[in-house]
Amino acid sequence: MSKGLIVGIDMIPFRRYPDRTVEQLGGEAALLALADAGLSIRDVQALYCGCSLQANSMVGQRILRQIGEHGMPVLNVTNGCATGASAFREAVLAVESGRHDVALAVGVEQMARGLIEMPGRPTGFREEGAIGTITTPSMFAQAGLVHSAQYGTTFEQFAKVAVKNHHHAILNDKAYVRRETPLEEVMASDMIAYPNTKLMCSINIDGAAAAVVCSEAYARKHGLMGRAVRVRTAASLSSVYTDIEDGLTDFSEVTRATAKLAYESAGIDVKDIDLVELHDCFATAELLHYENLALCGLGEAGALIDSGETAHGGRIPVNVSGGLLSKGHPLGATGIANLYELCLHLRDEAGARQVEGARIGLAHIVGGIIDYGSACAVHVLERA
Amino acid sequence: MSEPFPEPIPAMPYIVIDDGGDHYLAGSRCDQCGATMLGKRLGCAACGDGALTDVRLNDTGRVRTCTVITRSYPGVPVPFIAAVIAIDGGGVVRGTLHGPIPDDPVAEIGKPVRISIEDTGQRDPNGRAFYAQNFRPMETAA
Ligand SMILES: [Zn+2]
Repeated sequence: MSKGLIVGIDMIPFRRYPDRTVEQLGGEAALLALADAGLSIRDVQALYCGCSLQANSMVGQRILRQIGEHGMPVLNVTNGCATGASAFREAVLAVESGRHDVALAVGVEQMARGLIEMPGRPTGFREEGAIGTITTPSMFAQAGLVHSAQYGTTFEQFAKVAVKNHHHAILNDKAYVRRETPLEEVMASDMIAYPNTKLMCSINIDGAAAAVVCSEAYARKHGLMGRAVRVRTAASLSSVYTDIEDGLTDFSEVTRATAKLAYESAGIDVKDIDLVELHDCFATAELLHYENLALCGLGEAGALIDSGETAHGGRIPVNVSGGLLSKGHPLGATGIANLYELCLHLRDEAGARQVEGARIGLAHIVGGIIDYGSACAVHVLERA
Repeated sequence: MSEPFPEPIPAMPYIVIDDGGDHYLAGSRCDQCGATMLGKRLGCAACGDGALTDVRLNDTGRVRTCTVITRSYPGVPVPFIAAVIAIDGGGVVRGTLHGPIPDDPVAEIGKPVRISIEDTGQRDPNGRAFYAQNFRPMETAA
């Protein structure tokens, strides 16, 4: 089975677009990705559209109404924070299976400000405050403090993630937050759920990203190899049972299992990876995922951020785009935007933030809803 | 006309409201792998294989993790302590830990708590009280 290739990929800057519709945002990203590939919507044989908050309203079809309707299968995908990554994976599988030569994946979201509202109880009972919490920053705060209790990881170490990622974003003109945030400022910023302060939380925002995936035979036949990035693996797992899940969604165990699957199926070792875009929805999450993705051993994440090795120029740079903490986190778009960042580096087009000589990149996404479950995707991309 | 003392109702499906006031958390235990799950399931979430037995979960446990919530949805009073409790004898449940707000929530992890099913103060449209679990620190033996 030959691997799928990304031959076109792009994102619109994540911003607030109150005067635009979700299909306009998604359609714009789709056209940018098609232009990057040098293809037209008429060349596309299937559309996989990720959108979490409007998942029941045929967003994929609405996008085609904006950019061209020639009759193709459309699958609207929703999967929590892994929505965009899941749509992308479907496009890869469609091409790798031989069903389609060219598939388009679009991820798009329009979001309200503030904390994400969780689905309520049918009885009208409001859980928040009465039986603990269901907000996303607090889920990751509690996960982070498990690590603190076990390994002594400190508030300061978690805060350093925000310092690093905001610093990275200075070089990314598509990032939303582009200013240095010194450690003292991060730690003194409004506390949301200890240890996550406001500057340690990703922003809910509008955004879209899209990728054109095709087979190698198609790319060669149509002269697209110059833009090609190989999808070495598209791994996804959900809801790996752990004994904490009745109290807190477990994002770590599912990430470990998905990462293991990704490394095995890609036939690579973690040492082969040149850069990582991982799911830093909250600063605490990034440190946990250092270990979950095996960038370091268990209990070593605090030391790893202290060492500076995950900063640009370090041994294993993480979130050189600025991460979700700087770009914002439009649920459906995030997964494909992470892949866009990897492609910039694997094509030597990342400009001032280029990771020199990058050959292999890893993108990770994990999401979940308390009492429901988790969804994780790990993609490994390689210079073609 | 509504009853003068409408019966309380469980706020969550895993809460059992007892006529005599002996309320508790209900769980399911797998006869194959021993996993204890909160509430009822059609099958075992851990192994997918074993048969499940209804069990009454204990009213004591230990803090597995927690945090202090200082920002929440509009109208929700803060700060409060959100905690996940490992129930003695099996099972995990989340809820609010009532006690002094700690400077360092990490220090609360591992401490013993008592779990009680109490009036949340919330009412359904018929005036019935939602009952749910509350956690309180237990005095540790010296
Ligand atoms: Zn079982």
